[in-house]
Amino acid sequence: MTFLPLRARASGSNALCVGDNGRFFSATSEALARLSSGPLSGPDQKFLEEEGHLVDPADRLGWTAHGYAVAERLNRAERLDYLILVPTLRCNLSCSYCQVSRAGVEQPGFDWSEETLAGMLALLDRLPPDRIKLEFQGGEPSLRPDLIRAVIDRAERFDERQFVICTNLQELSEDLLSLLDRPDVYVSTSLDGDAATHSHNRTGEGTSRFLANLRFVIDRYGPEKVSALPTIDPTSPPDADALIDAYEAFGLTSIFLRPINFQGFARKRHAGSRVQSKIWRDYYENFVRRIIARNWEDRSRILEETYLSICLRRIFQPGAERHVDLRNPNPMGIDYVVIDHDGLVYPTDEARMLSRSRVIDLSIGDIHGGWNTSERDLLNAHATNQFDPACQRCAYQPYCGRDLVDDLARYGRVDLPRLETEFCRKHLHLFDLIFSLIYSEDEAVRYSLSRWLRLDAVPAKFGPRLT
Amino acid sequence: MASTIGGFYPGIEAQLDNVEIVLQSTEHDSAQLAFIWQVALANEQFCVGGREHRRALLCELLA
Repeated sequence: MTFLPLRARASGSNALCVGDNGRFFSATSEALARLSSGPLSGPDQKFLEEEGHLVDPADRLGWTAHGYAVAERLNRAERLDYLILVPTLRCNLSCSYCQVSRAGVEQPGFDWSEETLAGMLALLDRLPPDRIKLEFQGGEPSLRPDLIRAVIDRAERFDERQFVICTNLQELSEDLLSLLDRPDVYVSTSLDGDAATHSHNRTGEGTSRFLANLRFVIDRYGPEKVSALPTIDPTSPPDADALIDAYEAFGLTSIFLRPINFQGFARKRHAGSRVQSKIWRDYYENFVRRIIARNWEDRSRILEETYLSICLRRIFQPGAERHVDLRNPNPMGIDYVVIDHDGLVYPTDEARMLSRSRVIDLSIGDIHGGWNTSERDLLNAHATNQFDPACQRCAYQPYCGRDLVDDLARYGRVDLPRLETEFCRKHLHLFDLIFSLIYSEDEAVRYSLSRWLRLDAVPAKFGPRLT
Repeated sequence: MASTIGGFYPGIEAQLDNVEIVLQSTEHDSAQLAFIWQVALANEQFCVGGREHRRALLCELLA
């Protein structure tokens, strides 16, 4: 029998052991000693074989299954089917942590030109017709409903279509409403908490208008039409229950708890956002535990922290998630791109933000000439965690990802030792938290985990143990 | 390994005392530190032991 490679990490009084295929178990100190130095007992061998960590060299099917499981952990970026579009950089708000350094609402020269629109439509015409996701970002894209409509009309030929308009919902024009009437159009907006918090962070005197518009959209289309996410100032986060209450009041159950992104205006006005402190991590953990408690108290709906659910599904359901900020390898400019207001193409929205802030130009091409460029290849040469010495020793490598642009944003380089990066610290903490939940004996925890994994029932246990 | 343990386990510092590595932490007691060191050592053994297998499998997957 061949013992397949493992990685180990201390987790409380036990060691978490993870195979390259992402299958894991918890081992006692004694079991870990047998695993690392031998000899394995009969029950050890049986356990490891059943859990897919021991394979008979003559068992070709077993080897193929292992290879397949490892391959499933690797992202296969195929062809372009997801575009983030910025028809205008103008915005009718002026938030202190604006990530894209938006342009004033009356400023000329920050909308798509006729040529850029034509290039965009021609690009759509060239794509295979089976599926497309288009996300309209800004600025405030609803300032140009005509451009949104032109693109959506052109995308009618796709079999599967999804359009997301990321809007601050300050204005609900008839033009915008007629777009929202389409069942394939969704709204993504920001909701920072209760009215006072949202007003302080974003909308000022326009808060009541935003809240009324959000209520109107949800009443008209249902909460499934809308996703909202808060931006949190980690130095003064809102009370967790107050934030959850604000979302529940609108029937919104998925909350993507997001600290201020170290981008755009936030680089100067919220310089502390470069590093996430222990205060933030404690807040995050408390927030998740409050959600778990509330799910247990009221089982008529299920609340979730969106990113935690994404990470959880990466552990149990490889390939089910396509979240572009957490995948490995994370090649850029292949299956999704950002088309900016001036027709330049960026690999990610954060790359656009960095370029806009004049930190580094990460454009990889433009809408007319394409982006199969040496700039893109240069980025993609570093787009995996597979060969990093720290990642090779990290139990969470099969679940984790690589985010070059985040490293560039925070440190101006991509070769900082991985353990010193915020990306790594954040995910070590997050996966530590998730595995503490996975091995929790609390039935309230198991209930939430099962719902976040979209299971029909609550399993007796989520993780095996070797004693 | 000692130089990275603080990265893998925030709150732990490793110092060299003659030929001995000493772990210090305000968050973990000595028994916990000893266990973390045991896991880190085992992890290093796993890493070395798995190198050839990983190389071969990756070649197969990329072929």
